[in-house]
Amino acid sequence: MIAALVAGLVLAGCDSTSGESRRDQLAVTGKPFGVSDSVTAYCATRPVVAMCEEFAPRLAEFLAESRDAEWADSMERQIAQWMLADRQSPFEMRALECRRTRCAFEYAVTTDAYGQTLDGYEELDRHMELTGGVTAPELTSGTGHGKWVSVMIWRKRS
Amino acid sequence: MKLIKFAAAAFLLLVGIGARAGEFSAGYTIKYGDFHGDGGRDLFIQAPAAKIVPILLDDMIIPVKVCCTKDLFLVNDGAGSFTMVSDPSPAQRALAAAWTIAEEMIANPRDIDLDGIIDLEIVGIRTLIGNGNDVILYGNASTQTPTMVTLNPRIRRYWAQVSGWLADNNFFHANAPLVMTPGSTPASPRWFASVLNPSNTTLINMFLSQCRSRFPGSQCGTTPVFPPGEPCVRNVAIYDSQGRYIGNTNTNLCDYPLHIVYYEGGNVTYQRDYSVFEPDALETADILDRLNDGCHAMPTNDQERLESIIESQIIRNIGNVLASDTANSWPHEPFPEDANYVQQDITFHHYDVKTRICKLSEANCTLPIVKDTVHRYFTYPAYQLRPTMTPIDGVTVHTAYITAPGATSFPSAYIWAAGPIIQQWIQSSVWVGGTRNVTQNGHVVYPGTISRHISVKGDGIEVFTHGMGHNRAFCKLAVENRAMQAFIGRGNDINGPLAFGQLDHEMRKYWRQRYRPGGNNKIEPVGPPDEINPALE
Repeated sequence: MIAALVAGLVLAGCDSTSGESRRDQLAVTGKPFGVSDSVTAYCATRPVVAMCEEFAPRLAEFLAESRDAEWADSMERQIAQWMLADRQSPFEMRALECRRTRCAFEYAVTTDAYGQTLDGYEELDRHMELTGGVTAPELTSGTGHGKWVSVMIWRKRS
Repeated sequence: MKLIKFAAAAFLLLVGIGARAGEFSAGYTIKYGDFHGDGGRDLFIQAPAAKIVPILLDDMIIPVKVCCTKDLFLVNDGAGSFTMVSDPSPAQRALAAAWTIAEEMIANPRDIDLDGIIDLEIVGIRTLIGNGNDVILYGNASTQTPTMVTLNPRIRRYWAQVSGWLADNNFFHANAPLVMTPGSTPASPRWFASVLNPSNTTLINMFLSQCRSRFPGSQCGTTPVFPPGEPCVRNVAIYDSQGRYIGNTNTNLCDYPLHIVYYEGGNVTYQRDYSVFEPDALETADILDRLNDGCHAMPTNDQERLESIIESQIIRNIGNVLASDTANSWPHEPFPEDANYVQQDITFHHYDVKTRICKLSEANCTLPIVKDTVHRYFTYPAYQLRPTMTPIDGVTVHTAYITAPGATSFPSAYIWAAGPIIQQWIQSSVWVGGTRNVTQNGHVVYPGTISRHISVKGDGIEVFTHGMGHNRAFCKLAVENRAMQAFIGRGNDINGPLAFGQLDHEMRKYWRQRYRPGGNNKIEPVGPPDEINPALE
């Protein structure tokens, strides 16, 4: 499956120099999904963060599903392509898994690259609708420097 | 807290709190003389010599280098204002050396505009220059040349009222005169006093107090209507603006704009008249009140502001924490809420976005349509940035939505609940008529304000978004969490312009679909928003 994904990305125009790091990132695809500690910690903050309140049940719905390999493989490929199609992409994939009708995806980005927009979201949006998510700060030992970690949950459009 | 004090002491010892180039300090001397031989009195503001002084911080004595803005002249134009001559020549300094010290004037150093830089207020100018207005010299962080503002009566009232409110949050209520509501004016009110300046609350309240004391069984209030049946011209006692008796004279009281009356019996309804206060002062107090609602996140006095600045300096310099603000704003007329924020707070952030909605040459590109109709659906980022009409009543709570990094260009991705906001109309300043979103406790970037103003610029109509805030989200967290709050503030400073730029994009699309000829119900592709951001050019 990973080989197929890499082939797909090469066709989409990825350069070979960053292929190794992309393969590293793609290695997370299809593995059992879990969120980073920074997300867990952020959503444990009190008073509770509003986006976390809405995110928690969406994640639970995803985790309760079984996997439809054909649909899941296809969607995982599309999400990875959206994230990594731009060879200058500053985004770091951390976890990606689709199941029967839902996908969960976690990625990270530095503050400096926070504003960078990824093309190709419309294609994803045609197949799935975003139903929940959270973006959490991940600081390096309280220095004020760090990354933003986002989790997105999609649902198959009927 | 002990650790913070120690760190503060170490920090002050290292850099000196008064070392900034464009800041004022105590010790300025005011002299007067004739600068260019026109016979008028001009002023020389002489800086103290730089020196090391001991400062007592709680139980510690810290040597601090005190530095200052340099000498300068204020040259009298004869009409009450002054021209500033900064960086005077040696010859000009020599001229002033023989001038007389203006003992009657006071040079009062304080952070008037709350930007963390000490300013210099010069008062008592009229004691030596008959028509001279007092001035404020605002210190600047980046230059030794201060910015001079003449203290006209309106600015004086503004600062006096804001200061009064900061000292006592009941200030406006306690000092607003009671006024009879229209329609309930009693049939036979009796005259007690008249006031020439309706905003002189000191005098109004003095007369109201006297009225109540003298007629304890009556109600006393103010009204712009002179009591019918009472003689307009009569011999009355005259008082100055401070309530000091001057003498008796015949006066036509019907020429006065406000009257204090008393009424016995009847069913009279009174209400407090807040119109006597400066609208900017009321608005400043109201915003600060709302921003602190449920969570004391904003400093409300000079001591808290100073603590915030020192804390931020320590976190920035010793803790190696990046400040929230990035270079995505530009100088412009201040919004009323701006004065509430401490620019040197490490979580302070300010962003600006301008987007053109349409060209005036296009049909239906008018302010009534764009400002009063279309924009009412795009005052805040609703779920998926969908057009949402709101009442803007200062009360109704809405949920603002954001999205994840990388997805800011996609309206359907705006489903992350950022938290609660309320909305207000901007009621003063050059931005009057605009809308303001005020984040509430529980919002991820609380406290903050985002104002939006629609106007004609050049050959088009544009929407200007101005975001400003601190970040004390989860305000109960201690200072150890300030690094995270600064980080979140920085993320907001970067994300805010993108989100509101996208909201503008949706607004422009909405206008095109509904108001441009041929655009009805037609979904058409549109390009990226026309953002105009001089700070980034």
